[in-house]
Amino acid sequence: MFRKSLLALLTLVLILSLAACASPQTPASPATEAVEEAPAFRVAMVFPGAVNDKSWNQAGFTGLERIKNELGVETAYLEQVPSTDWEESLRTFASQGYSLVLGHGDQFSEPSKKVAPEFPDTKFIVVNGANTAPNLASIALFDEQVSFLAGVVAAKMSQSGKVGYIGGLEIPPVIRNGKGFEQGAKYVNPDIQVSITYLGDFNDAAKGKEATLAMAENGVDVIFYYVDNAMLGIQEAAKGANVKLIGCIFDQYEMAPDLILTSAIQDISTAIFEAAKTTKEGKFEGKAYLFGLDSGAIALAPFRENVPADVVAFVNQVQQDILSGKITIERMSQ
Amino acid sequence: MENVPSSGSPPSPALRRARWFGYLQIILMPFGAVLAALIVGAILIALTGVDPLFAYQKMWEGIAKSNYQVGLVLVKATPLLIIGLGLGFVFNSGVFNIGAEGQLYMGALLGTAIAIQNWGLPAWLHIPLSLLGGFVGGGLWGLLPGYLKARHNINEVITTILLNYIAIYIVSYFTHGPLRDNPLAEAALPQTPEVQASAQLPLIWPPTRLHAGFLLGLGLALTLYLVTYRMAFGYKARAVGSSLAAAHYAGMNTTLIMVIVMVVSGGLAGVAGTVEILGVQHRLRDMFSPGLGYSAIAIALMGNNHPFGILLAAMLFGALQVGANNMQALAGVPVTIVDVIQAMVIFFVAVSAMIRWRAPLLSLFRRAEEASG
Repeated sequence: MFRKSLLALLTLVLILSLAACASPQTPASPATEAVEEAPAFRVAMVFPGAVNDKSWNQAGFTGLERIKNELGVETAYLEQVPSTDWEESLRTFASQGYSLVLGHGDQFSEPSKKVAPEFPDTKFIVVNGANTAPNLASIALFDEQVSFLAGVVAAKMSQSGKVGYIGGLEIPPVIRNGKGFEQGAKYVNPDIQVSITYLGDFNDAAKGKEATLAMAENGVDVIFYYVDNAMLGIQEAAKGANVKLIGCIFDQYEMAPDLILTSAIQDISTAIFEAAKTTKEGKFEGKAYLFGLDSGAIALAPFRENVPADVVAFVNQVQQDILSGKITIERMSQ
Repeated sequence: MENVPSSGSPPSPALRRARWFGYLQIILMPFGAVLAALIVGAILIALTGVDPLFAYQKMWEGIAKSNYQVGLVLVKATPLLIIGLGLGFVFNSGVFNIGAEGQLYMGALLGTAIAIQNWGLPAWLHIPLSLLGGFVGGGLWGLLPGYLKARHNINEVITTILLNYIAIYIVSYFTHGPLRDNPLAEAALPQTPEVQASAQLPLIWPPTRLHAGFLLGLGLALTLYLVTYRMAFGYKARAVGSSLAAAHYAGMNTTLIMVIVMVVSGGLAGVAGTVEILGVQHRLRDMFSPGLGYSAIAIALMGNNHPFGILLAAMLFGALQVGANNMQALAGVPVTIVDVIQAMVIFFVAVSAMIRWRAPLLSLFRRAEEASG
């Protein structure tokens, strides 16, 4: 018993001596200095996953790097933040006087709603967020606009009057892309048949191949897909089945020059950069920002020689009509 | 287990010297473990191009710069403390429960399932009922391997590890399926609805985030101390750990004792999971625990399986975690390096605990003690 309580005491000593090791440096805390200085614009971002995941988090991190390099401001971030720390990670940066704190993903919607009122001088932005407040905004891509254009291209290029959409998981951005594609195809040809398939997986190339072959057998000759590595299976099957493809997220022409007609570029990093720039200029509003074709965050990739000039001209006209409001595209409700 | 020799002959000089060495080891080992981890960590931090002193300064600020940060340390320590208490209790009986993570998940599942119900209960009833649910969920998940170990001598290390995976995926199923909040909303995350206001643990030190779960942890530490060192059952449980055969020979129902300590250990892990949901996260999510049940093993080891030692070890780990987060956020130390440093603390603590058990000095100490008293 005596030994045990001694152990307890000694562990306390251990903690205190740790404290003693570190405390001499505390007075010169840069955080307190920062408060005294004129408040510089500083941006912090919180990521649910690894910033080198070659996917969602990396796209967000690219945005943060652009903020650092092009706006010339100090940035900081936390990555791989588990759900235990979503709320606290936002507080960590807000309490340090960061001017703008971004949460990269819908999971930060609720935490930011709680934290934002505690720090009225800090602006919060949640990517794909659901809530707004005077100092809380959300940003999202108007995916339907660019996938609408993809649908227009597909319908124009299809000989058979049958086009297809292959999505990864049945989650909001994937569903939105499918809906936009369908609207675009039907805008060109109301009688066109649009098959929609979800693989249940973004990376399973075998499933992508099967889905493509199944569509080709039914006469589909243009496919728009929204997947990650499963695109390799889709491209392989398309080659044999004489199906043309429309890529997603970034310009994928180089991956299969004879197959890819264009790509529906969806660049969240541009949206993040533009939102930070707006905030730095003092024009932040607590609202839901939607980045459409006018923002440059979404666009069709440049056409190459495999798309005839009359189709290119038609697509450009549709794009003009979307921008001018002549064509209205419905946003899927949140 | 009382180490102070009963009145009678004064301890011999050899015994005193040996005991002094024993104490010294108990101090130096955890201290050395943390220090070693920080030194190796400093080298790694320097390799990433960050000044280690600056990084550790940020770490320290994260731990103790303000009441708020201290509150955070205690918030982080709370689930580790409660799980660690249960693990210390079961380790004392010589049963090596590696299943706290799964027990935590099952407890959180049952506890949350009760906490989200809109039954119109007052808080004084809804909170204990949810915590009881947590205890039952975790306890049942401890009962199974406990029974298999006690009755059929099936290695509990293997069964508890396997049950961890099952538990985590069961929770995954419920958060994606039956308990999912608003499954029709397009942007729904796999998570349960928010727990009712009547089931949320109150904050006890505003404006910090410290919630009543920490008080519960302190109460449990005291209770387990009394049970282990002041009650007959605790004596029996420790006897089973010292020598199963001897305890059996002395007429103890060793099977029942083993099952009970496993249920208590699993139950406390379940309570810890529920406390984390009711006090911090307010929703049960897929994969909600960052390995709390595994970290708590190192905490029980570091605390020498003693409730008060576990309390201090849990606070130290809470401090390391909060400090490491701050270091990552404000000094720009990559998260992987932060993880390595935390893992090294656990590694060095575990190793030093093993060395402590086997150290020749300590066995000398024990032999001298036995000889004298």
